[in-house]
Amino acid sequence: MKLSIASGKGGTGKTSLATAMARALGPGVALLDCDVEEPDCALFLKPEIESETDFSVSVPVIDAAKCRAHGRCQQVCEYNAIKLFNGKPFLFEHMCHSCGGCVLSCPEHAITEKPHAAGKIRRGRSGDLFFADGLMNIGEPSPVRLIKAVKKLAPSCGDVIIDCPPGTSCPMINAVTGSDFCLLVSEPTPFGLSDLKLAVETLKKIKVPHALVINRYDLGDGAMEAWCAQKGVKILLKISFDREIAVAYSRGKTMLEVRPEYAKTLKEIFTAIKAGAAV
Amino acid sequence: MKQVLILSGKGGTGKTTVAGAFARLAAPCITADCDVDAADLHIILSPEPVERKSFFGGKKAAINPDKCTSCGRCLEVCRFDAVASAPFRISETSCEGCGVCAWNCPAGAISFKEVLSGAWAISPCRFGTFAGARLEPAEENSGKLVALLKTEAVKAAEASGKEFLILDGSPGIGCPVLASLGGVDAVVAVAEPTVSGRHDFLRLAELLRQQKIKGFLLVNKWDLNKEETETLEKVATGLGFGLLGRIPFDTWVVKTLLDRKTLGEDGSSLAADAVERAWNILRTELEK
Repeated sequence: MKLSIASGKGGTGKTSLATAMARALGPGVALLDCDVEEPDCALFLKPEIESETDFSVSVPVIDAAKCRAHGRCQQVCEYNAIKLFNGKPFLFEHMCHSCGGCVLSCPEHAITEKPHAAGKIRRGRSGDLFFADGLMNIGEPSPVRLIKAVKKLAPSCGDVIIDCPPGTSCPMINAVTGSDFCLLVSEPTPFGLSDLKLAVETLKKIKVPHALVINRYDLGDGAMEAWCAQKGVKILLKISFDREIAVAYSRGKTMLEVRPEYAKTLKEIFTAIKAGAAV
Repeated sequence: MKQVLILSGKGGTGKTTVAGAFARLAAPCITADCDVDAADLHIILSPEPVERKSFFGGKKAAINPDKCTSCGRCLEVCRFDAVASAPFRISETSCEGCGVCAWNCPAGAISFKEVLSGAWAISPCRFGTFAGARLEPAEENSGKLVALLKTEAVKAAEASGKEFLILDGSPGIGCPVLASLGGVDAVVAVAEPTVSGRHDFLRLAELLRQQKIKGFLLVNKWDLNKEETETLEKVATGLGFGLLGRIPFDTWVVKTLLDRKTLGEDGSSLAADAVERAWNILRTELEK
């Protein structure tokens, strides 16, 4: 089963839950860190990295000698990445989405492509876990391709946990798409609830079944639980604020290292989700 | 007019809480929520309801089944895994709006139209003016919406002669963050003293170095890990960041939020006082 862990709001405990869940499930499980803008799972799982490869996207190269300034490239580029000035094409590489449209459109075949380094993909093991993450190069605009590439590393068998980026737009959607189930993590504050509503709406739109874990539930109010009851969003776990977990987290320790009793709970939750009993 | 942008790299470190308090301390000012993906600042600023303007962020392709000859050219040219076959159709959430399928369909069976992907508004709030936007869930082009919102907020600030534009940013370092950086005078990086907080702060710091923007560090929940707080401050100083101080862990912050108020608005607290000191340091720095 592929289980993604997402939230809408950032900093609610996605990475904590994902790393603890992966550890609790033990042998044969894969953890993919798809928060490629800020991947943090490795800080907690401390994997032995077995391979690190560059991740590239294609960007156009214009052969000025062949260009006859038809302007087709400028016309088809939806991202304003190619502009003609005084009959000469200029490329704004950081605007390019690597769609390849300009290459196909050029009647003179004056455009080819070259790789542009956009990030790194790491693979390794943490104990008996398979681990992979992506690290987007700083200054790159879009994490989406890299997220898709990391997701493709999921082993063909065994359970997979995917740690997702925050938000509800393209990065989050691309990380969650294809999951059998999405476990949302939120905190019961007005900010948490507002973003939870967006995340649930998004998951309904992309048709991924989901349920909720409320983190630090004693630090907020009851509005989130009331909303979930009204909307039929199942709450699978409530974790109270625990200073020891927070301090352990600050030092790069998973919550299981200070609260091993959560291993059993997390395993049970995973089993219930797998059995289809969590919706 | 000075633009102050609150960022963090890592999510949930307290950007919106700090932005809300800064809006109150800088009042009357313009405040803009550049986290259009998961906008929350309006919850504590309670702007007056006004009519929203539509945002058309980009185009999406759709296949007309009556004209489709199932030649498969769209599937071949799409680089975003957005085309499914038998029958050929385009996934709305995977489509990146490049139009390559539409340009290359030999049967002319693919339409390529602008889609409504969000809304934005500028309205009065108790600390001046608030610019907010909302991206429809599962929509794209948050960067474009952030850029639009910023342009409008800057116009409003200049027209009304406001001294400060306070911008609440998105987590991460990708497209919405890049779109919020243009013309900014200072970035306040709110970071937690944790190993992941430091890792994510360093990535944000590198982005600011590339973009040549002055950064200031504000450590939140500093007392959760004193050694890590010291490390963060040392690293930040080495990278040319100014230090705005430390906010202690304080459950009063949540209480203020539950009351839909900005930090410090309902009286003094340890965290509120720390944020006020941070604002005073920043203001002095910006006036230099």
